[in-house]
Amino acid sequence: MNEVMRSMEATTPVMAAAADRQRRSRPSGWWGMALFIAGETTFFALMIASYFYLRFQNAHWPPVGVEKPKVALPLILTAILVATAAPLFMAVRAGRAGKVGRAWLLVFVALVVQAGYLGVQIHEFVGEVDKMSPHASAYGSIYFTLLGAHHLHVAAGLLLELWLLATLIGGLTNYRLIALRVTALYWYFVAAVGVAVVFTQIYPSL
Amino acid sequence: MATATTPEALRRAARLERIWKEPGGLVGWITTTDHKRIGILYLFTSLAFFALGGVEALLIRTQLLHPESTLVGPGTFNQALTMHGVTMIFFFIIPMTTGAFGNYLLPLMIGARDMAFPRLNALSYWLFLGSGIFIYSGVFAGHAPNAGWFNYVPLASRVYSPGPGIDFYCLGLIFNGISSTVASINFIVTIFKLRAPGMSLNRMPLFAFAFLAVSFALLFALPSLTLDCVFLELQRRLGFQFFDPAHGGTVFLWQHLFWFFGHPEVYIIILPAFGIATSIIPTFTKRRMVAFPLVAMAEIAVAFIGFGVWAHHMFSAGLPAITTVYFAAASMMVVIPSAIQIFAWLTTFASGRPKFTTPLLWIVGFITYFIIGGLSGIMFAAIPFDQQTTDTYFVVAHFHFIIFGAAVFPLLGGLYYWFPKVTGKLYDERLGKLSFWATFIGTGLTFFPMHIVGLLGMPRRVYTYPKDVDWQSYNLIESIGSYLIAAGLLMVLANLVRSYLKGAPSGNDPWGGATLEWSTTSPPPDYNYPVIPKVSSAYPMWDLDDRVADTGKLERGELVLEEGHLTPATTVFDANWDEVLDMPSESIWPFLTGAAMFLLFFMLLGGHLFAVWVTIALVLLTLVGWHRTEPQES
Amino acid sequence: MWVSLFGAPIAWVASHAVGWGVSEARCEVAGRQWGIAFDTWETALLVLATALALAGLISSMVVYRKVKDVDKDAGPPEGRVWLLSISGLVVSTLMLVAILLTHTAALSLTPCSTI
Repeated sequence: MNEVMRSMEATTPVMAAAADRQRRSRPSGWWGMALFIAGETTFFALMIASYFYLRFQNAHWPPVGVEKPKVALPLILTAILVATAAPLFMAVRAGRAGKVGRAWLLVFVALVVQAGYLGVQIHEFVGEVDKMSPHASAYGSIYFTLLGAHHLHVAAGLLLELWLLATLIGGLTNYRLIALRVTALYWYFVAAVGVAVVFTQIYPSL
Repeated sequence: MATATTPEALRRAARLERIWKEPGGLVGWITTTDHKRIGILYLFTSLAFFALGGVEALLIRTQLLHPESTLVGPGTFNQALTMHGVTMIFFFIIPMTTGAFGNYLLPLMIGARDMAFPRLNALSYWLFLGSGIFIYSGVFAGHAPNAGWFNYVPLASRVYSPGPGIDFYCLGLIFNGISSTVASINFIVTIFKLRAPGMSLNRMPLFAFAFLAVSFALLFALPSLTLDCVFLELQRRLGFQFFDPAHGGTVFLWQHLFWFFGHPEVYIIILPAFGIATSIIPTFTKRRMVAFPLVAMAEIAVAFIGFGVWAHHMFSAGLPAITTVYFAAASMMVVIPSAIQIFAWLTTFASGRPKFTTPLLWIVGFITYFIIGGLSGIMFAAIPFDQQTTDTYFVVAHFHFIIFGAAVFPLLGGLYYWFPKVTGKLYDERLGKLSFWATFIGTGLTFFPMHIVGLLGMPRRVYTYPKDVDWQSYNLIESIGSYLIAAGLLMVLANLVRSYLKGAPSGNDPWGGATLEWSTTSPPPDYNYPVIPKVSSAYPMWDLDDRVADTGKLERGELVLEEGHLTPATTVFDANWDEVLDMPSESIWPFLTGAAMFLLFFMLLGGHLFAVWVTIALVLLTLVGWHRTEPQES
Repeated sequence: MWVSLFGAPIAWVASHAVGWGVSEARCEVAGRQWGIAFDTWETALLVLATALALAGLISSMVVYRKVKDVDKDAGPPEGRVWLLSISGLVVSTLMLVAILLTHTAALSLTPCSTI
C-alpha cells in the first residue's frame, strides 16, 4: 500500500519523472483527452460522411463552373503537419525523463512550424472563398466547413501549446507532465484527422 | 461499515472531515466541486425543467380535450409541442439521470471520494443551467422554437422560419451538448480509474455498467446533433447550402444526422433507468441479480446496437428498400438485449422474496410499461407496419410508454429509494404508494388510448381535430389521465418535501441495500468513505466480513488516506491500485467559465463577429485562471 | 479474449457502414452514373462479415470453456475474463444474426425500388 505514490506531490522534474515511471496505467488526464478526441473524431467522421452523402446527390462534383481542387499544396502542407508529431513525441519523451528544457524547446519548434502551416492554410482558404462561394452550392458549403473546422482545431492546438510553454517555464510537475502528454496526444489526433480531411478535400481531383 | 468508535478512529474521521469540508452559503454552492453537491444542484434544476415541460404537456392535453378547441392557436401549440419535447429530453431527463443520480451515486457506488475531474463536473452543471436559461429566454421573449423537437428542414430553414426561434434551438442544443459531453468524459474516466482497488469488472455494480454505456453513447451521439445544428445555423445565418436541393443539398442530410444522434439518445434516456432498476430489485428481493453478466452485457449492447438503427425513423421518407433493410434488421436485433434484461429481472423477482415497498412498486410499474412500450416499438421494425403508423398517435403512445412509463418511473422509484441516504430521513410509505398508483393509472389512461386513436388515423402534432371523426372520447380519457399524472407527481413532491422537513430518521441503511453507498452515514460525509472499502463481489454490503475489516482499518489508519484531499486511482480493467490522487478543492473558475460560455452563446445568437471573438477570449481567460491552480495546491 | 469480444461487433459495424454507404450510392444521382455492381458488394460483405463474426463466436466459445468454472465473484483477471467471455458469446450471436438478416435481405430486394 505504501509503495503507491501520491502523484500530485511530484512538483520537480525529477519527481515528476519518477511518478510517471511508477504508474502502471495511463493517468486520468490522458484518458480524458483520449475520450475528448474520440468525440471530436466522430464529429469529423460525420462531416466527411456528409461530404460523400452530398456528393452522391450530385451528378457533377464539383458543380459545373467550379474548378477541381489543388492536389500538391494540400498534400505537402498536411505532410508538414504530420511531421510535427515528431518533435512533440520527442518532447514527451524528454519530459518523462525529467528534461524540462529540452521538452520546452521541442514544443516550441513544433509550435512555430504548426503556426506557419496554419498561416498558409488560412491564406489559401481566403483565396478560395473569393473564387468559389459556399452560398452557391453544397460543394462549396461542405468544402469550407470541413476545412474551417480542421483549421479551428489547429488554432485551438496552438493555444494549448502556448499555455503549455508558459506553464513549463515555472518548472515541471506531475500535473504539467500530464499536460505535455495530452497536448501531444491532441496533436496526433489533429494530424491524423488532417490526413483524412486532405484526402476528402482533393478527392474530386484523384 | 467503517464506523468510527474508538478515539483514534474518531480522530481520523475528524481530520478527513476538516480536509474535505466545503464552505457553506451561496459561496460554497457556487464554488463547489463536491460530486454530491453538484448532484443536488442538478436535481433541483432538472426538477424545475420537469415542471416547465409538464406545464407544456398539460397545455397540449387541455387544447386536445375538445375537438376544434380554440384554447390556444396553432402557433402557440407548435411552440408548446416543441418545447415539451426539447425540455423533457435535454433539460429534464438527461440532466436528472446523469447529472443528479449519476453524479451523486456513482463515486459512492465504486468506493471513490469524488469524480475523476471535480472542477469539470461543476462546469458541466453550470453549462447545463446556462443552456436551459438560454433557450428559455427565447421562450419567454416569444421566440420559442416551433418546428418540433426534431426540427426538420425545410420547415426549420430561414425561408419558413424567419424568426430567431430556431436559432435558439440550434445554439441552445449545441450549448447543452457541451455540458453532456464533458459530463460523459468525467463518468467514463471515473469508472475506468477511480474504482476501489479490487473492484474488477465482474464486481462492479450494474448501475455503473449502465452509466458507462450511457456515457459512451452520449460521447459518440452528440457530435452528430452538434454537426447538424452547425450546418443549419450556417445555412440560416450565412446562406450555406447543405439542405437545399436546388443547390446540390438534400433535406435527408438533416434527417440522417439528426437520427444518428436521436436514436442513441433514446437509449441514453432508458439506460440509467435500467441501472436504477437493477439497483433496487436486488435490495427488495434480497437476491443477487439473475444472470449478472448477461444483464451487464445487455446494457452495453443496447447502446452499441442502438447506433445502427437510426433510419428506422425515416422508413416513410422515401429511402430505397435496400437501404432500409439494414435498419430493419438491426432494429429487430436491438430488442433482444432488452428482452434478456426483462427476463433477468422477472426471474430475480420470482426466485427472491419481494417486499413491495414504494421503490419496488415503481419498478414493477416500469417493467409493465416497458413491456407494453417495447412491444409496440418492435412492431415498428416491420417496415410495412411502420409506414402505416408513422406520424400517428400510435407512435406517440409507444414512446411515451417508454420515456415516461419506463424511463421516468425508475427515476421516481430512485428518488424514494435514495431519499433516506441523501436526506437522512424516511418518507411516508402510505403516501408513497398512493403517489405510485395515481401516476401508474394516470399513465395507462393517458397513453393507452393513443394506440387506438392512432390506428384510427389521428395524426401527431395536430393542434386540433374535427368533431365528426369520433376521436373525442379517446382524447377526453387521455387528457383526464394527464391530470391524474400531474396529481400523482404532485403527491410525490409533497411526500418528499414533507418528509424532508418532518420525516423520521432513517439511519445508514434502512433497506439492507447491497451496494457501497449504504455503508456511509445518511447523508454521507463530505469525504464519502473514511476507509477505502474492500470489495470482494458486486454486492459489497452483503459481504459482512469485508465491512468488519474496514472498521479495523480505520482504527489502524490503513487505506484512510488522510494526508490530504486524496482518493486512489487504479488500472483500468482489473482495478489494481496504481497511484494516489490529490483532488482539487472548491474553485470559482468552473462557474466563471460557464458564465463566459453563456455570454458567448448570446453573442453567437446576436451575430456580431467582434463580440463573438471578445467572448471567446473571455472564455479562454477563465480557462487559464482555472488551470493556474493545480490539484495539489488547492 | 479480445477477438471474442470485439470481432463480431466490428464485423457488423463495418458491414453496416459500408453496406449502407453502397446502397445510398447505388440509388442516388451520382450512383446511376457509376454503374455499381451492388450484388457483388453485398455478397462480399456478407461473406467477409459472417466469417469475422463466426471467428468471434468460436473464440468466445473457446475462452468460455476455459473459464466457466471460475467463481463469479473472483478477483482480477479471472473474474473479468469470465464476465467478458459470456458477453462475447451473446454479442457474437446477435451480431451474426444481424449480419445474415441484413445482407440476405439486401440481396433479395430489387435495388432502388422505394416501397
